[in-house]
Amino acid sequence: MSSLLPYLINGISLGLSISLVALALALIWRTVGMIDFGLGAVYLLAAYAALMAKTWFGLPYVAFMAIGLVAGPIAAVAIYGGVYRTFIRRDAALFVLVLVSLCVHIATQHGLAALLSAQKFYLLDDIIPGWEIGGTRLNAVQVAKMFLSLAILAGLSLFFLKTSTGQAIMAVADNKRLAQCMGIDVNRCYRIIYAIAGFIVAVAALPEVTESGVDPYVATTPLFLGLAAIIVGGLSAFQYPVLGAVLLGLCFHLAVWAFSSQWQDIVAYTFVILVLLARPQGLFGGMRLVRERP
Amino acid sequence: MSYAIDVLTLAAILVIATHGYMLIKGLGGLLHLGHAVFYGVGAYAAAIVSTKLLPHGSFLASLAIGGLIAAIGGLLVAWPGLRNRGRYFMIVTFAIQLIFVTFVINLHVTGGPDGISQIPGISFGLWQPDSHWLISLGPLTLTYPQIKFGLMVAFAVLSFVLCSRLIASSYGRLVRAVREDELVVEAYGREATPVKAGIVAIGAGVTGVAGALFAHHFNYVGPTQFELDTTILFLVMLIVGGQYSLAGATLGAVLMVTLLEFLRFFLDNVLGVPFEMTAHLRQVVFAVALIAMLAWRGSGIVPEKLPVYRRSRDGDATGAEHIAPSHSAVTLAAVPASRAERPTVSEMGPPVLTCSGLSKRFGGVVAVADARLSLRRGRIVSIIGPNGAGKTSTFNILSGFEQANEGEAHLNGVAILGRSTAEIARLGLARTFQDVRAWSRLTVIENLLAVQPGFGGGLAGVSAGLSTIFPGTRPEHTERAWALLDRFGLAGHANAPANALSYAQRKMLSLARISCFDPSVMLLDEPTSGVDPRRLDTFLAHIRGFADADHKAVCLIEHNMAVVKAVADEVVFMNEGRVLASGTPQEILGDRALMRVYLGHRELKAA
Repeated sequence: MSSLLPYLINGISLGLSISLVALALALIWRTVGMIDFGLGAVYLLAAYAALMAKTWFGLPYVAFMAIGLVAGPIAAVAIYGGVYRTFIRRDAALFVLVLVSLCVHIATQHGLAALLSAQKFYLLDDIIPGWEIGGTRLNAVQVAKMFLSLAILAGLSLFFLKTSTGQAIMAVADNKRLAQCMGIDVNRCYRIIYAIAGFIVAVAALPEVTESGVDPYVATTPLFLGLAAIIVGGLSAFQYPVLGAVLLGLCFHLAVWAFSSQWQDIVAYTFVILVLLARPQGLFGGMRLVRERP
Repeated sequence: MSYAIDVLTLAAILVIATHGYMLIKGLGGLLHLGHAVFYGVGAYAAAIVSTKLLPHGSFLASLAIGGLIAAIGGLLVAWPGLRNRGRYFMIVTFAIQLIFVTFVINLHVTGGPDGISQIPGISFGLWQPDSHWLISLGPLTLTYPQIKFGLMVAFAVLSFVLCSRLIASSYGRLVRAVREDELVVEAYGREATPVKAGIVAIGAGVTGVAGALFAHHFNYVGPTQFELDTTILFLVMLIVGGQYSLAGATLGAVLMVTLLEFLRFFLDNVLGVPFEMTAHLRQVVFAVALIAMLAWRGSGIVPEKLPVYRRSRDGDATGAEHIAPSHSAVTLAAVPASRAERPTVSEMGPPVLTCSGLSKRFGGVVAVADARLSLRRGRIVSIIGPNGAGKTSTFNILSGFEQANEGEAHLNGVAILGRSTAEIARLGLARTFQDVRAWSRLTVIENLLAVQPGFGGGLAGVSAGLSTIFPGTRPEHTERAWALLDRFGLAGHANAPANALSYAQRKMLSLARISCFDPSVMLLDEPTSGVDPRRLDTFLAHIRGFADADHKAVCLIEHNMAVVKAVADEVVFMNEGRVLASGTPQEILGDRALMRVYLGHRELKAA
């Protein structure tokens, strides 16, 4: 049996990259009160924006990454304003919101496939530089993902604890009507929430597609893994989805260590199902929404 | 022509699968996002058994196995999601949807990514036609696809008939009651979880049969057929057609298949879109159509059809002319006895319900510190006290909604603390709710029929549901419900949905409902709050009637001292979670020290 360390490092690396999407899902879940599968559409739009900037305008890597990063929040806010807002204003039921967001994801995915074909495009033609760490090779993108995840997590907690906008968002999440009465612009708060979530998703998407290419189906797995991380970790604090994501990432790579790569998916998903069976509220905390929907 | 028949055959199969979805989501109200899994489990089960285990010609056995395995799968999926009364069901079903394909691709028995091919077509025993099979009936020649189409339509019709009987049965009504408010279902003696698990199993079973039909129709199953896109297709069919109506589900499936074929034709032949784009564009159209439908009309094209009950006179069913006008509240079965005629405590039997030393803490907050009560048949005890005195918490403990930290309670000699709400209700204790909690989208008479002592809770409920071929409500139950509606002046609204009633009428409905359940102990939580003074006498007469005519042990929480004086035989005063005093209304209401605690100085003078 080979050394455990490379698998641990790879597992944590995967976990931290899952954690970004999990964090964005958790952010919207805790504030708006919906499971936003539309973040999959945001993921795709950020990736394709970068791809378009590269292929149409021939921009350098840093420039089209920046365009992708900007496209994420814009797409998220546009989806909120164009689609979700109608339903949120009516106090639509959770199931309706989930269906709508799922449809946004599906429509975007298949729309891109129809317009730009379902084939895979690559953002980088060269091999990504990497280093030998602890018996495994980590490339620059993987290292960047780990640092970005930690930075986003720290930034998010600072935003909510220290800024007045963050406090206003928490107030809206707790009691929308009361916040409205206190003069907080709820619509603006929601736009900010979606912009932040869109940015986080773009940060998650761009390194990932740099590594593995862009096609219309790249968003489904990260979206689901993010959801699985929430299931595993629970939602009652922002660090729980991150912990859940790391556990899930470890589970994927320890499965390879213990069995074989063929069993990777089965073992990890069985772990998710077992958590659902034993502790549906997550291993660390509750799944309570801040604002309950009917 | 043969293409059209192929499409229609598939439509008939999808209709059956959408019926299964309607049962789970529409009837049961369960947020279900993994319908393609049930469809796929049925299809794979049928494919595996008919290619590997069963001899040729066992089409029906393969269908049954497909349905059964899907039903078991449904139960397994349902269990973790149902046990916790949350939104976990949605997350669980969605997770299973995404995991299912991974499992199917990685397992050997399902044929991996290649799927299972060469599944036999339709065959009964020795009759094993191949696809070129023909039969000539005089001038008419029937081909195998035509026979298959006829058979699938027959199955769809059968599914429609069975599902509508299930929906109309008393189990179907109970499922709808659970959808509206499952805690109230438990408060009236039925465990909600088996009811929900039952409807998931039935819905999954129906869908599994559809999946098995699909396997035998298409002769091939593979992982790509049961992905999230398929679930979305079912969702569009259900939501567009009308999720609360079986006819709507049928219509939605037919409509969407038509739209699918129209799009295929339109994109290929009219717009000349390249072949590889059309499948994607169809998905886009479906997703946008679903969003548009949800925005425009969330309940779909066909709304829920509530059953209409007509009363029979002397056994013969007649029309609606017997429905009494709404103001006929005069037909009271119970006339209040004057206070002098009422027996004193010493003349009465032993207490039906006793409790002592009840306490309940929420974290550091003590809601109930030391509550005690003793209720006897034919007597009305009123609990009074300021807000936060622990009155409703005491009711919650006694009815099993909250678990007490300490204390004991006995109902007819049986210890009830620690038992479930439904169990306590079956032992003979029922309660009403301050905010009524009528099952909103059940009609008024259904609100009564759903609490009738029919089949019990637990497994009996499920087995009653499985026997869908048996019709629902027994005539004597319906008659009893009509009599109660007369007594409580609601007969004119019998077939109106409960959410169409005024507040006072819903308060009255909650009295009728608890009376229909016929418990030995009634806990009434502020039965007259929000009722205008003109109607108050009617309410008081009914409450008095529960004790005097029906010989119930009645306990009510009340803030209106006039009501307390008028109906109570005994008053219990609670403050800060403790029973401070109990006695006759005169003793307690006359005690200035107590009343000062309750009302404060100024109000006391005003009173």
